[in-house]
Amino acid sequence: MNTRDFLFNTPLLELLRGRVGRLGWKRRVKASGLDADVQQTIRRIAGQWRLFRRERARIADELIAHFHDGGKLADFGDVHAARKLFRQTMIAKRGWWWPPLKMSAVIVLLLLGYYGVLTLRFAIGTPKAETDYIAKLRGRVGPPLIDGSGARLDALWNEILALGWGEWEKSDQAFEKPWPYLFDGQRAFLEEHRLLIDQVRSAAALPVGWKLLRDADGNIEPGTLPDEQSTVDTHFADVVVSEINAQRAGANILASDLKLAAEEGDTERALANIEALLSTSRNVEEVPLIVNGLVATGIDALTYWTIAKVWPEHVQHFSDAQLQQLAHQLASHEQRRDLAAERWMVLDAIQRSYTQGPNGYVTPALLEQAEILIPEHADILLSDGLITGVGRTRSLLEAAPRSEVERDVNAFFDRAEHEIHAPMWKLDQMNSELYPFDKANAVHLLLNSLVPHLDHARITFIRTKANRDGILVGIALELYHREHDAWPTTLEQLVPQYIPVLPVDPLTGEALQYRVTDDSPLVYSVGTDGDDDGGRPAEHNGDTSMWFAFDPDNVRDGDVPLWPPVP
Amino acid sequence: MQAERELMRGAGPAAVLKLLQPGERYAYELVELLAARTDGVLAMGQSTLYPMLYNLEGKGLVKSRVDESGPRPRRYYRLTAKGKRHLDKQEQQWQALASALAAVGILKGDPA
Repeated sequence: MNTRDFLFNTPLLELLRGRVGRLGWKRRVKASGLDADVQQTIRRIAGQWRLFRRERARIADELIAHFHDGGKLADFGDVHAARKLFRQTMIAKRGWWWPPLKMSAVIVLLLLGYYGVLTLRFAIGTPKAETDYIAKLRGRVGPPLIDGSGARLDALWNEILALGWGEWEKSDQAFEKPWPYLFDGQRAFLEEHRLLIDQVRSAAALPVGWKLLRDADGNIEPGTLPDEQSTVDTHFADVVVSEINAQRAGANILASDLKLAAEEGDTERALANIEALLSTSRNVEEVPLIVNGLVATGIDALTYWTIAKVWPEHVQHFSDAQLQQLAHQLASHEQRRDLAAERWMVLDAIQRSYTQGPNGYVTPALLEQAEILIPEHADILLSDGLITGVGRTRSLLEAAPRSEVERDVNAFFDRAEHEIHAPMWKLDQMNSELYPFDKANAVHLLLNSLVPHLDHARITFIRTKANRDGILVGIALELYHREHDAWPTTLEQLVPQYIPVLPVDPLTGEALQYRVTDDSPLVYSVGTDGDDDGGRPAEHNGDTSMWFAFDPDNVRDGDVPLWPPVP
Repeated sequence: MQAERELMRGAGPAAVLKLLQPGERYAYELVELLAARTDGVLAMGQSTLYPMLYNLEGKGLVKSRVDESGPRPRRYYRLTAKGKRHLDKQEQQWQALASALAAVGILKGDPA
């Protein structure tokens, strides 16, 4: 036995190779003692890869016996033709089961090959962010802070935050309370920090105001995003969260000071506070995220409620000109709601999950994006074996291609941006059913999870605008009453001298209802039930506030007073 | 003289079956018998015999077994019942064919 045989043809290795017993035909050919050219012929005929091992062994054994019995190579015939004949007849005698088995094997092999190609494709797929959505955001957020005073304002905000989340909160008066009440502790705080509050008011009232954004490390950055962050290397979702808590805290202080100023008869300061509040709201809203829109609306609601709160006792301190100024401030404060940042956030997630181009396909990075954007849903992808695990290649088959996903995303936001502005009488509820939902697709999951929030936001916007409209009519009525010493018999009498255009009923789109009872005017909407109940507020568990009056799912008997507002 | 390929295609299997009629034989035995008994007329290329046997086995006309009692394993072939019936039919057909060929003068003498 030579070295090669010793190493490669030991019985143990034969066993390991599956050549159990008789199937080790090559060894038997070698051990047959036949001439080398005969052995070569046997090996050529028997050793065909399309034959099973036992078939090769049978041919080899028969040919060994044949040549030992006296068969001559010269009489054997053409070896090439013999190879073919041996193979064809041996395969033909396998039986009926062979053709379907062979076909199945071919199909399985093709599928395995296809899956292998997909796996390779999935593994080497690398997303590349090509669009700088942060630059788009910077374009929307506006110019940097005035005259480089960002550092000063930043310090100011930090002081307010320290106060807000420190002393005041300890006194059980959290800043985020939706409407201000002046407690002794608050009054003392406002008086003690008058200089600071003057600075806050002045800064907040500036048209470019404060734009506070978190940088990638979570630090608060005053002003627009610094240049070095304006790069596609930074994930949009990491920087887009604006520091709205600071503005909210500042707004609460200003609203409280508005009430204090009204009590003190300092109408100029009161109006300055209102201007600062409205400006803060606009600054918050400059980041076109729905959460910013909601916080801005919250600040608006706080402003309107504070005005309504101080109105009965202190309106007489305001001159006609001041009331006209207030009307102008409120009328020019338009809500601008769009979902641009949400759209960019999703498109940014797509460009970080899919390969480039319209035929881009999903990569394992989708999971990372899902965990950033929808951590509460990312486990669905995991539990399904998509994106991770052995079934990850399946993602390529199940997840929609990039062009389709982007088309769905844009269609979603186009419609949502249209619907979020639709008045209640044209659209009861945002249409959630038609939004695409596919649990294998993180983007669709994200979109689907947005819908209820969007609808909630829309109703909040509509309700808050109704607050504002009520005050505008209230100011016009007050000015009319001051001039005529009587209330008008119809609201139309206010136009155009006291109000340029009358607002409409926020629920029906019809004219607002108006009546005077006990020398008090009442302006109201007919409410979700659509009939005039004489101004009797709709109730919900004893609560007559507007908070519950706009719920399209619960039609309530009663009306929605807009002026004077129900506290 | 060796028969032409087309003639051998029909005659070869019939001859092999006939040689197996008395009992089982191994392949080389068949090679030798064909050459000896037919004076070389039905001697076929040795490489042709094995595929022919595989074919007959595939059709269920013959069966094979391996005998390992000798110095090396040797495969023996024998007729199956189906093979016997097939051989009977073949003999009748060849007989009829021979008569027909004699009738038209291709075969000399009376085959009957």
